Amino acid sequence: MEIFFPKVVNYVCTCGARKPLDVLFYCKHCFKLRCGECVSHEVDTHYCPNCLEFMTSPEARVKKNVCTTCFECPCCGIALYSRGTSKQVPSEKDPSNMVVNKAYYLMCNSCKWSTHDQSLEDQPTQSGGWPRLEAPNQDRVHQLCEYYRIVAHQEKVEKDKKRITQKCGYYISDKYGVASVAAKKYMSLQVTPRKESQKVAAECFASKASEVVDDLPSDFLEELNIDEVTNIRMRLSNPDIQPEKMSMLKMRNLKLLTKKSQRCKECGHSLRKSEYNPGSVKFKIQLSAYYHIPYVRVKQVPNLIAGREVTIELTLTNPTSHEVAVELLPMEEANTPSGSGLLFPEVTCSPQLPKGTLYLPAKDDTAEYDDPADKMDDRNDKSVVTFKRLNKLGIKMQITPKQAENVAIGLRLKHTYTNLIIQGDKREYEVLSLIHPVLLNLSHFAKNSISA
Amino acid sequence: MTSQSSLTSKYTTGAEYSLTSDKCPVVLELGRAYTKCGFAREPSPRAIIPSKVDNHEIYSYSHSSELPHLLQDFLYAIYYKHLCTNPKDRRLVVVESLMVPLEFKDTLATVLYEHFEVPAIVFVPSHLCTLYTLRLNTALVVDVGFKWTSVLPVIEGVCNLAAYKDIPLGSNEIHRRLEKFLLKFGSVRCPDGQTRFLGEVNPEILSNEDIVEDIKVRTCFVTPRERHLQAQGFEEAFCEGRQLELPTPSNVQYPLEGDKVLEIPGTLREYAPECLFEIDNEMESVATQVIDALLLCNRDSRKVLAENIVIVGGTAMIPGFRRRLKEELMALLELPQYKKHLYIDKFMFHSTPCCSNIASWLGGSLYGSTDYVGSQAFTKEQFLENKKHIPDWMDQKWKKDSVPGL
Repeated sequence: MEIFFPKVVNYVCTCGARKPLDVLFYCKHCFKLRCGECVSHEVDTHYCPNCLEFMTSPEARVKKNVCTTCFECPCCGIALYSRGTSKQVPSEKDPSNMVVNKAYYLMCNSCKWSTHDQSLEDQPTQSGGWPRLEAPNQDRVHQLCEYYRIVAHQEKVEKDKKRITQKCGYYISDKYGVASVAAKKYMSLQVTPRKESQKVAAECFASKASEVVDDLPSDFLEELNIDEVTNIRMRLSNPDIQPEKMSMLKMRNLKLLTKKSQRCKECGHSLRKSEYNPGSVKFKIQLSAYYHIPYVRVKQVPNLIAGREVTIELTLTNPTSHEVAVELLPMEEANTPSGSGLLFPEVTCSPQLPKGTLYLPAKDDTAEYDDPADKMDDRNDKSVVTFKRLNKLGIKMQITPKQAENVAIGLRLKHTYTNLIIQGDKREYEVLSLIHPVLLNLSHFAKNSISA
Repeated sequence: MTSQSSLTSKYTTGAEYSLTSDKCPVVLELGRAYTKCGFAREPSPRAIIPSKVDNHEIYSYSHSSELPHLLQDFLYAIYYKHLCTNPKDRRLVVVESLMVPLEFKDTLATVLYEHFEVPAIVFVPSHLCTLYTLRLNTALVVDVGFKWTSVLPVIEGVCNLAAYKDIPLGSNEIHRRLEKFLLKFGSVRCPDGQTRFLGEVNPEILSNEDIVEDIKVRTCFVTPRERHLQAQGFEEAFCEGRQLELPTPSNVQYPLEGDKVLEIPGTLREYAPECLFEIDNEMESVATQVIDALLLCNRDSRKVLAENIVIVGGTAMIPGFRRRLKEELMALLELPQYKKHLYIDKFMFHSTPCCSNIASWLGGSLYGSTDYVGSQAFTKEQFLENKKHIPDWMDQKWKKDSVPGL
């Protein structure tokens, strides 16, 4: 698998990126390869990574992308866990009687920070009930916000007023119904900001400068225990207060994670869409190229010596449930706008590709349990094919490397693709021919041959 | 740290100001060291993350063809991991430093428009929008960043570019000095009980910027000017291992690599940030930049500017920085070359309603909440029409479209 031999076989995406087949998408509607860089990503749903609560986008927006019930440790950033304690307190009804009172607090399983360090009261319920941390300066920011909104609005009104009076000229004739539109627009400009926001804005005063500046803490010469001072990561994780001392740390609500879906930029169809349930790892739509495009892998490469002709062995796998006819075309013939060959500067060696068409049988999930004796397909050239097993075919070809290192060959994989068209009740199959440039880096195999 | 002392956070269930259904623009500030990202109308950014992709700083690219890929990966993380929002849905406010290369800006815009399909972007200069957080029109903005310290006077909402001053002093310089002296004088207690110099144990260890930054953030402070004067010849004394007759700050035991303890000399803790205020060969320091910028301004505006100084930037959060800057400014006033020209007797400072490293971001957030975004944003069509070039904020196009004096 590609995991073990990274970047041996790279397919060239429509955008020009070189990527292994298993990270590429295949758009069923434009019949083109797409990679992570040339599709548009969309945030689908939000969920909490701790309690796996599902949230829609508008809800998450209102909640500022945080989970309301889960909190994160201010020291190490992982989720805090709820712990219970029981305390004996005098009963409310009868003070002489002691009752056991259950209380819960939050604690980090990694660094043992707890809500007690922040001197928060224990909660009577296991989850929830914790107050939400708010920015200390939010009243001031709100005032400033409203103030500038009104300033901007007034400026806009003045600007538009000027424009309208200039346009209207001396008189407004209602002959063409223009006047009513202009009048309406004029009226809309008269809209004054809401009373409340005006009131808030009126409270916004300009900052007063002072000669007194923040002084250095007077104890700067005294012993400094590094464990009591927060590091920059802890400070920046709480931008509102940026605490300097460990004792000033405050827990924050846990941030939500998202599930993303991918969409083809050209035709707008979804390429991948996951299920809404945060616990599920399945997909509603999954158009990975791995399920649609024949997979080229390198089976055997002998020691590569400059100038000596050697035989390499590749395998072709058909992942679809239809027979695929494959042709291997040389890279040079590619009609590129900038001439030929130059498009792939990494190709250092041109192989002697087998001529003619190779037929790959359809993938059959049940065939795996059958007798493995496979019959050769008579249509395939026997001098090229080394073996056949189910939907996999081994082929050999000669290459003459010009150098011993950095040997990379390129070929264009031409294959048929059976597309299913459903129109109402009719199901039609359409056979298309697709070409994908493929780059094989053989240097990984130079030392010892590995069987795929 | 300025506003720090006054910032006491509270847990309340009161009014939720951002409880609106409309989609506020995204506000992004790509700083040299840290990037702040969040939504307009909010009092603080959602995340502050290092401006790095796989340990590769986005500003230090070796070739311009590298930059689009770096930005693509970086913005992907910002949008989908930190902001959890679709870039297509929201307009974008980019708070930019004045001296960002045009190439960087154009590449950023190209990636945003073409790859992320952002509907409209507006670039706002960071110095200017800092003033929104204070409701001011006129101020002298001092931005002490990672690589540079820049000073820009803003008069009645207009940047006085002629009086712009900058100097390559900032956290980076402090890091270099810490690194140099720690390698020489930092002693390490190894697990076998022996004490050796850091340079002998592992000279490569400090090339990891994170450790140096951590040491700076947790232990360093800017010493008062008085102490600085008493400790003249600081460096020589330090190098010779001579004891100064001043009480020195305590040494700090810093845990290293899990099994060693690095002893940071107390004198280094106050000596490292000194580089910001030492007069260099060209007779310049952070403080002289402020005074020089004032001198470049119109005579009438100098007094107003001196009484409205705004300090922003992450490096300004080192304890004692503001006090020292003020002391240095007062001392400079006494020098003959300034005394003759400047008739100022006091400096006054504003404190931003947030920590100073997010002040310009907050300005962008306030800007993003207004109608200006709609009228001044640059759409994709305009961008393509303009040959994939964002008009510089100081060129005529920007001037024509912008509304002066907010």
